[in-house]
Formats: sequence, structure tokens, C-alpha cells
Amino acid sequence: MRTTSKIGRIIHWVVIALALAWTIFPLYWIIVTSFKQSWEVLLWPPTPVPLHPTLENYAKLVFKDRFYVYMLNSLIVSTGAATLSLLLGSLAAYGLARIGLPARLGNLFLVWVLVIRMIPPITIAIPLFTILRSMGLLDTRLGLIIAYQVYTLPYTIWLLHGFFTAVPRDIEWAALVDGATRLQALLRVILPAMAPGLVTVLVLSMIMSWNEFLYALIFINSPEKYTVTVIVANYIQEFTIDWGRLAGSGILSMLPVLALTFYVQKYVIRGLAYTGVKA
Amino acid sequence: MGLVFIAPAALILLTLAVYPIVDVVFLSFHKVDVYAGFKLIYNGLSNYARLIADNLFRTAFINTLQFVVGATVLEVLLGLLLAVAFSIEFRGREKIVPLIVMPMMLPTIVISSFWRIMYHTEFGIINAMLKLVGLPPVNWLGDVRTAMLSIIIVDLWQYTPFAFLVIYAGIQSIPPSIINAALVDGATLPQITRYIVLPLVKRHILVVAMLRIIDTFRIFDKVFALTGGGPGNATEVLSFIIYKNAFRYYDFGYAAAQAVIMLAVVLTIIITYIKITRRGG
Repeated sequence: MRTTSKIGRIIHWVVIALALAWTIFPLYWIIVTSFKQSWEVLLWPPTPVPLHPTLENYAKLVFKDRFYVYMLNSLIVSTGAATLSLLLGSLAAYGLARIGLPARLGNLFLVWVLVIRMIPPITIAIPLFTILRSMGLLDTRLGLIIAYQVYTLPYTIWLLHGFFTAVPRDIEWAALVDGATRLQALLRVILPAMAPGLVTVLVLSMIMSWNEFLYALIFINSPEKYTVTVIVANYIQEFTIDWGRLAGSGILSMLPVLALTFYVQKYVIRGLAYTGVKA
Repeated sequence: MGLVFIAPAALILLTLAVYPIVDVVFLSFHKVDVYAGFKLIYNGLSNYARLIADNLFRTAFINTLQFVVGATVLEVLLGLLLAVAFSIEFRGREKIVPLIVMPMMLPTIVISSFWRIMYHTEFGIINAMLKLVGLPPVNWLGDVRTAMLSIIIVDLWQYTPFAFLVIYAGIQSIPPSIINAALVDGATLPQITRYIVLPLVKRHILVVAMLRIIDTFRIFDKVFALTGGGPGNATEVLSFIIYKNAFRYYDFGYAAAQAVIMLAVVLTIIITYIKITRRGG
């Protein structure tokens, strides 16, 4: 579409500029805050750029709070959860897209998976808690990886189902005619052919797990096993909040997400197919 | 044959999501003695009787609905406005769209902590801006009248991009020839939006609204980080009181009953959503 009138162009320009400012300002403000000394954070009126830029908040986070421990925990949990989902999900999605289930069972399975993805996580938290408890997996990173399958596995199955449906059948038939089994065809021919798609799904699941807070809060107790979201929440709960450090911890915990988002950018929009909208 | 491939994932989902749904219903008819090794004592409907008389539960339910409606309506309206604005070609559009979309990828708890800093009554940038234009400071998170609004604003920041993306994709799928023909006939942009774009993206709007309703119902992180349910009970929401009953007070049976009610409400919406998308899809 194009604009027609001059007034239209001005309104258009204002809307775009406001949207940009509205999106970017909070990020700008927190970056600025994270480089301020504690006295400057409390200054009125607030200073738009740090008067005496400092790395003290980041130094505190790294050397005193060992923030990298929590980042490592988040990395372990999100990588673990995403990998496990990719393994189980690619098998399931392949089975659904290529071999199929009798009658309308395949469709039913997909709908069922979608429902699981949409129910509020708190509603199944108590049974999950007792399951993890009986398996001795409470307060372990492995337990959290398993609990996260509730989020990542349905998501993976839906995205991969779309990808599998899009891969031409010919290459698979060729492998099957040459005497490969279904599993061999999947592992040696199809999965390599859709490697970029698989990495994208893996990354999106990782972001989802990295960002998760509720289950990490409930299922992890020992501070040395906290994920970044739990430690950031802890900083907010403190009686006297160290605002500069809080800002820095937020920046550190979203940096990996930003880096990964940059990689999957193109697919974020396509990932919406999962929602049921034909984009 | 297909079943062999699907079985592992199906088994995990049965254990982690279907069994828990059954179990939470089962638990809701019991008192759970956490200190005696999770011993279950059947107590019939008494958890539900207690729930009906519980003012906090009612407040949390109403607050949740307020948040759901407020956030969804505003996000869809703003998303629609943005989608129309971005459908008009301009230089740098392809670079700006990913920027606009970024907030929805970030951790909610982190975003909330950002806003908590900005909302601060004494040194927050938002009150500083109000002062700049001559307005009095607002106790955003500490005032009963503004606390829920403040939480909704954070959700707008994070998820308006989602509504925008879905509706934008819808507008992109309209054949340019239709709009060009209208332009040739002398239609103005508001007319095109009203009579061509809106009817054609109605479905996208409906779908994104339903998805936002389902997603906003689970609100937890923002309340946890911004207000902790206060001031008073002004921002208590369902997920948060269920969390507190179960994992702070260890009142598992009662929390289970509350979870069952919440699950019933959200499942009804989910099923409606699936019916709508299947019918057209």
C-alpha cells in the first residue's frame, strides 16, 4: 500500500516513530541504568546518560554474585529441554506427517498436543511436583528439563510437522527404494535435508525454556541451581533493591536471547503457523 | 507403524500433561497432608465449598478477567493500527519490523523488572516524564487504581508485537491488485482499511484475540515481579493464588480445586478456539 495525502504521510510517520520509540525506550533506559552508580540511580530528576559511567554493577554480578553460574544453569536446562524435545518431536512429527495414524487419529493427536501447549502451566504444577518428587527429581536440573517438555515438546511437534509436510517425498522414496528402513531414511536423508529448520526449532525451544520462570521457581530450591529468571526475581524480592545490579542482571540474562533471536528472526513470523493461522 | 514413531513423545505427554490433569481433579477432592508424606485424606466437596465462600478467590478471578479483557482488547487494537501502518511501504520497513517484534522474545520476568525500575515513584523515569509535562507523580504499582493498569501496560509492551505480526501477515496476504484497484477508483486509506482490509483480516483478528485471551489467563510472572498481588488484593490473579496456596502454604488439596476451576474455564476457551480455527481452516 502507499499513502495518498500529505496529512496521511505525517500521521503515518508519527505512528511508526512512536512505535519505535515505545519499543526501544525501556531497553535504552535499562542499559543506561545498568551503567550508573548506586547513588545516581536514586537521583531526581533521573539522568538520561550516566554522569560517571561505571562497570561496578556488572563487576558485582560477575565477581560477587557469580551470575555466570545461573546463566550456565539456564544454558544447561534450556539446551537439555530443547534437545530432548527435538529428538522425541522429530520422531513424532515424522510419524505423523509421513506414515500417519489410522482414521483421524493423527489429527486428533495434533489437536491434543495443541491443547496441552495452551493450558495454564500452574494448573498442572501440583501433579508435576508430586511426579518429580516421587522420581527424586525435585531440585535437579534434569527434573526441570523433563518438566519443560510440557512447553517445548508440543511446540516442537507442531513446528516440525509443518516442516516435514514441506519436504518433498521423492528423496525419501529414493532412500526407501534403495532398501533403507523408515528410521534410516529419516536419520540419513530427511533430517539432514531439513537441518536449518531443525536448528530453528531447537533455538526457539531454547528461548522458551530460557525465559521460563514458574516451573523453575517451584521445582528448584537450591540457590546454586537457580536459573537466571529465578535469580532476577530474587533481586526484585530483596528488601532494599539494588536497582543498578537488577538492571545489569536483566541485560545479562536477555543478551543470549537477543543473540538467538537474531538467528531465528526470519522464522519467528513463520513460527506463527503453529498458532493455527494460515500466514 | 506410525505409532512406533509417535509413541515416545505421546508417552511423555501422557505422563507430564494428561495424567496431571486427571490427578489435579482427583486431588481436589482430598486434603493433602504434606508433612505426613503427602498422605491423602478424602474430604468430598469441602475444597469446593470453601472456594465458593473464598473472597480472595473471587477477587483473583475478577482481577484475572480484568487483565485478560484489558490486555487483549488493547493489544488487538494497537496491533491492528500498527499492522495497517506497516502495510504502507516506507524505507527501512524490513529493518524495523524485527525491532518492533523483539519484546515478545524476551523473558517476562526480566521485562517486568525493567518496568519496575521505570515505574518507581520517587526516581522512576515515567514520573520524571510526567513532571516534564507538568503532571503530578503517580504511585503506579502502589495505588489500587493504577496497579492493574500498570501490569496491563507491561503486557502491551511485550505482546502488542504478537497481535501486530499476525494481523500484518494477514494484510500481506491480501493481493495488491485489490488495493490498487481501489486506489485507482479514488478510495482513501481509511476507506481501504475499513472496507477492504478489515473484512479480509477479520479471521486473523479473531484468532489473535483468542490466542491472547488464552495466554493472558495464565498471567503469573508480571504479578510476581511487579506487585506481588498488591496493593491489598488489587492485582491478585488465579495463577498467583494457586501458586501461593500450593507452594507457600502447602494447601495442595485446596489449590487443586482452584486449579480445576481455572482449567475448566480456560479449556472451554481453548475448545472454542480450536472449533473456530478448524471450521475455517
